[in-house]
Amino acid sequence: MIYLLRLAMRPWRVAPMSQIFSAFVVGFLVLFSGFLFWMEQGLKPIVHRLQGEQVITAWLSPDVLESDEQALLKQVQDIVLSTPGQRSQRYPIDFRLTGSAEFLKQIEKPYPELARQVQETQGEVKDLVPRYITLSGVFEDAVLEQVKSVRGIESAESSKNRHAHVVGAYRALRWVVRILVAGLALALLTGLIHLARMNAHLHRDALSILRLWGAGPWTLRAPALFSGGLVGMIGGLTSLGGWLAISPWLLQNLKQLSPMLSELEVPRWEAALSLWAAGIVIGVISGSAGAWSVAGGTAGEVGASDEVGERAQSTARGTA
Amino acid sequence: MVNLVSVCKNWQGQARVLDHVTLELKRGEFVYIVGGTGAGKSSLLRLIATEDAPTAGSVSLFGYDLSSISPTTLRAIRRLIGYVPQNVQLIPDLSVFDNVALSLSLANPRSQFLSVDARKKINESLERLGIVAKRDQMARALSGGEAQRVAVARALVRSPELIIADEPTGAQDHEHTWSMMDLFSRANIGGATVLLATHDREIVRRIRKKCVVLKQGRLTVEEVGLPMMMTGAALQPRKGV
Repeated sequence: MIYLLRLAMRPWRVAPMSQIFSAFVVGFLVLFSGFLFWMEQGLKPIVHRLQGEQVITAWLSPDVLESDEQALLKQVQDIVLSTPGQRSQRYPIDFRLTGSAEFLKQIEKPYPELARQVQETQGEVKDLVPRYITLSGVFEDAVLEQVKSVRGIESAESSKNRHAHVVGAYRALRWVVRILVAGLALALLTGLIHLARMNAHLHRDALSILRLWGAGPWTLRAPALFSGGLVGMIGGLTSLGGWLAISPWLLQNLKQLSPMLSELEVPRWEAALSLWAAGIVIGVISGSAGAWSVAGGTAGEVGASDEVGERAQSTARGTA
Repeated sequence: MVNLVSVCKNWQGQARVLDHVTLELKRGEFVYIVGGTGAGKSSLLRLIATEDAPTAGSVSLFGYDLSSISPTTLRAIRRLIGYVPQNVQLIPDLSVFDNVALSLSLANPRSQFLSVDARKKINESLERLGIVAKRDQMARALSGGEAQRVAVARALVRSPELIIADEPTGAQDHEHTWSMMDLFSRANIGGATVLLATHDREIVRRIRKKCVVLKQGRLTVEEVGLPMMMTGAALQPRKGV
């Protein structure tokens, strides 16, 4: 195994700058992809909240007695909380009953004349002044219909979709981020596969003799896998360091962009480790592509390639 | 042991290098392959060493037809061969000792680590070829002659059943040539089949063995001792011999 590791180090000896540059490119692209992925994931709950956030106003029927208002409020609370999926919502729900007296109190200050005229109607106040229950929070779609079905509720309306344009923008942003991550991953793999093939080419002579000594396919693939994995590991370490160094600053600045982004979660250290692992995985995948190009096709076949044979033939002619 | 039937080899865009070569080697034989430049000696050895496949005809080793065996069998056969290619093909990133040790460890894939006996065997092999002093030197730093001796040590240390050597003495001085030939002879006495390509008429004259002569890709003469073509001026004896 130690011999194969030394073989794997050949590209670092022959073309060290290519390896170092590639490792840093891996690190940067993995870090960038990591941030984009983190943002995509962070936007998910924000979009969900904006989609579901609404104020439901349930108007009480005139025939509901004042003494039954609290019981009706309790009934609405129960029916809302028993709606499937509603209990799993992590956002708090605010239930508020606005009775005749409270309504008049609310309009007293901004509209004193109107409040005075209503109060003068005495017995008709009950019919003139609206009473309603407001529910604020993130609700399942079925909640509005459930509230409407409560006896004593005359009608109910919702402010749902008031953030539709913002939700649309965030959704589009999430798709852009996903496409960017996929594009970056593709670019990264393509670049690394080219590097791996170059590295594998550097191993070609050594592998051809190993093959003739009876080496198995995994022995032949090991140097390219190791060298690919090494580039990926160094790249992953670079991204891990970058993540730990930049993420607090980035989060702070993102949150300042919009109050809606204040819910973005703090990047976790597990994410940094995932970036490192991602670097290694990408390196090994690209290394295996290089390894396959060198060892895979001919590991168990007679003969390497005509190109090698012809080279040997011309060498023989030159030296003979 | 080795059986070639009507073997042809063409390189792309070139004339036929081997033209319907038929050859049979029995276990324990020592055979020279001689011939002029471009006669097809190296191509023939590359086919027998499983480095190349023939364009036509069949090559059988140890009773197995190479065109129809499984990869596992092929690997097992390769572990029985000690091959010294003309261009040596040492692994430059490894030391002399490690080059030989890697060859030995691949011949015995079940043993993960080199035993004390294996190390001793490698050192003895290097000593006999006069390169034990360079055992820790990187292969890339060796001269052509030294590299050739390491390649021979690498092939012989596996105790192969079939030794294939392509001009192994080409870059050797007088002393090392004969110590190398002595090792090949000993291996042959020990039961190994030896197939050796050479230009050196002195080797063929002194160590009289079966000779196979290749001329323009055709196997033309087969006799014991110095063939007629090697008595000509084209192949001069080495200086001082």
